Order: sequence, then C-alpha cells, then structure tokens
Amino acid sequence: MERDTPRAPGSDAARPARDLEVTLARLLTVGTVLSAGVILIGVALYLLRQSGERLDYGTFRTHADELNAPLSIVARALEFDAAAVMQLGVLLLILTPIVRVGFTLVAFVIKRDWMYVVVAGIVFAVLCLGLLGLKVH
Amino acid sequence: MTAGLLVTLLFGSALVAGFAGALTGLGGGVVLIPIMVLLFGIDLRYAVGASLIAVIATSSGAAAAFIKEGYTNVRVGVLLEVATVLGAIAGAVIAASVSKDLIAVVFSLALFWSAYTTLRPLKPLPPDTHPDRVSQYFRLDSEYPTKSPDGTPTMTAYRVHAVPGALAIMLGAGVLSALVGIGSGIVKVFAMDRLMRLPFKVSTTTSNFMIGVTAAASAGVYLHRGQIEPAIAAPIAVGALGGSLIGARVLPRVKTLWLRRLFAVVVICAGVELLRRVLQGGV
Repeated sequence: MERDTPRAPGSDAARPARDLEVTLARLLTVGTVLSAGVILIGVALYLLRQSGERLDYGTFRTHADELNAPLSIVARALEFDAAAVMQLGVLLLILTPIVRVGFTLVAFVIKRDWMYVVVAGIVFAVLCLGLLGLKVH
Repeated sequence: MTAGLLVTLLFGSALVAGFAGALTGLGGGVVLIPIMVLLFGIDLRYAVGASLIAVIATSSGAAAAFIKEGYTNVRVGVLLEVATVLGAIAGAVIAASVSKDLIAVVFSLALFWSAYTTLRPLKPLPPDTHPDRVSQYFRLDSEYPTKSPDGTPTMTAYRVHAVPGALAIMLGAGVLSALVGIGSGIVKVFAMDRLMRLPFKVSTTTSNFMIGVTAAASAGVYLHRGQIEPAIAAPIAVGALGGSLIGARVLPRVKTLWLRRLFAVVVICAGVELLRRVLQGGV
C-alpha cells in the first residue's frame, strides 16, 4: 500500500465511509437542535409558571423522584409538567451520542467489519447499561 | 433566590462560559462548575451533573463542523471509547461513595492542569512513520486532509502507535470525567498526540467526538441518582451550547492569546478558592 504518498481527495475507496461520517455528524446536529428546542420550551413553561418559587440547591438530597428514570420523565413531560419537559430535553441530549454510537454500530454491520461491530457493540452496551440498568444508591 | 432569577442567571453565565470555552479550547465544564458552586452556592453534586450535560451539548453541537472537515478517525474514537465509557461508569459509581471534598480537590488539580496547558499548548510532534503491530491489527492507520506545498488540498497518510498505553490513559480520563463533570479533553488530546502520535488536528477532533460519548455514559448513572436537576441542568446546557456555537463562529477572526491568559487566571483563582473552602471545613 502506498501509505505515505499524498493523494487527491475524492479519488479513493474511502469515499462512502466519508459520506457516512457526514451523515452521522448531521444526526448529532439534529439531536442537539431537537433537545435544545425541547429544553427551551420547558424553560419557558417553567419561567411562566414557577418563576416566583424559592429554590435552594445548597444541599444535595437524593430524592426518589419521577424525574430520575427515562420512562417516567416521558410520562410526566406528556402532562406538560415544566420540570419534566426540561428533563426530557436533557434526556434527549444524553441519548444523542448514544444513538450516534448505535448508528456507527449499524454502519460496521453493513460494511461487514466484524471486529468493529464487536468494539462498537461493547461501547453501545455499556452506554445502555448506564442509562437504563445501573442503579447505584 | 427565586427560580426565575436563578434560571436566567445560570443561562447567562453558561452562555459566557461556553463562548470563552470555545475560544480558548478549554471547553465549558472547567468554568461552569466554579460558577455554579462559588457564585450561586449550588451543591457540588448538582453542579457535576449539570456540567456533564453541558459537556454533551457542546461536544454534539460542534461535531458536525469537525467531521465535515474530515479529520476525525472514527475507528480510533470507537476503540478508545471502550476504555473511556468503562472508566466513566466506574467513576460515576465511585462518586457516590467519595466525599465532596475529595471531588473538589481532584477538580482543582484538573483546573490547574487546564490552566497550564492553556498557557503552554502542546507543540505538535513530527509524524512517526514506523508501523505498529497492535495498530495494524485494529486497522487504525488512516489519512487526513492537508495542503500540498503548492496549496492544493490533498490527503496525507499517518500511522498510529501505542494503543495499549492510550487505552490505559483513556480509562483514567473516563474516571476523571465522570467524577468531576468535565469532558477531560486535555487528557484525551495529550494521549492521542504524545502517545499515539496522531496529527494534532486529528487528536483534537477525535477527542471532541469521544467527549460526548464519555459524558453520556456517566450522565445516565447520575440521572438515576437524582444528580441531574432540570432547573439547573437545562439552562446550563442550552447556555453552554449557544455560547460555544457563537464562539466557534468568531474563533477564526480573533486573536486568543490574551483571552487564554485571562481565562487561565480565572481558572487558577477558581481552583485556589475551591481548595481554600475545602480546607476551611468543606464545600
């Protein structure tokens, strides 16, 4: 292989891979814009309704709240609870890089690149474990 | 403080922090946590959670621009992520049983290192063209866009080295990121530039690509533990995102040397103040 010879871009077999990277990057942008939009709606609702509330975040309290698990966040956001809508936006933000790793995994499957299917699969599994399964008290 | 005022002030400060973070290359997390803890009296545990969300937002928001330029090495990124996400989960689990003071001390040290690298940026090393067995097994060698001497754009090949050492450092970067709520981009860039000998632009863009994934791993754990408080995390995340996007637009047109110096001074002061509070009976 002519590893160290510069070549003109676009003339190589890596082209489809580049296109895929750009698509994946767009996915991140879409996810980010979507989450920011949901967060802003939540913030607007919150400021409209709860603006005068006194807050104190000086001490951390572990609360068994509905805003700690993905499914209950969605359920409460559908009732237009302001804090839950903000938290839904935050959840979408956390999901964005996870979904991106998922798509990278699919891309490796399509390319039949089994070694990287395993590598991306491990990353994806650990991310899902962190979001869904692992509860530490 | 009333909810309306707090949310507005958090949004405003995150906007400024995201802007300065993008211009100085330090990222937002490094100043967001001192702002929340020192200026607004927010508990460090909430601050770490909110900062991680801001780190995800800025990393994802900037990724499109980076990847379009063709610098990111996706294979290197995914392979190293195995270590960073495992480290991040471990760090988030450890964080539950570690005292806030210890977290504050580790964070202060990270601040000092950040300030140091801002003032003395890494000088890119010349490429190392010797083949490496592990790197060839994982097919990590790649190419990136450069300009040939006559100015026309070309692709230049590079080789990757020291994969096992880099994986070990990435595990540590994941723990650090989860424990103190920063992207730990400086650790990632350090490992990729010094050990793996990637071209500098490939190191920085691949690091950005990995930062969001690393933070997402620990953010999930923090969410379950109730450390992601929406009234704090939401304004911090959109503020930092907006600020970093504006910063990235302005970046090519400004000289950043004095800004970097100013930022380094702010970061050092924040680190000293945090340490002082730890010594005076805890954060």
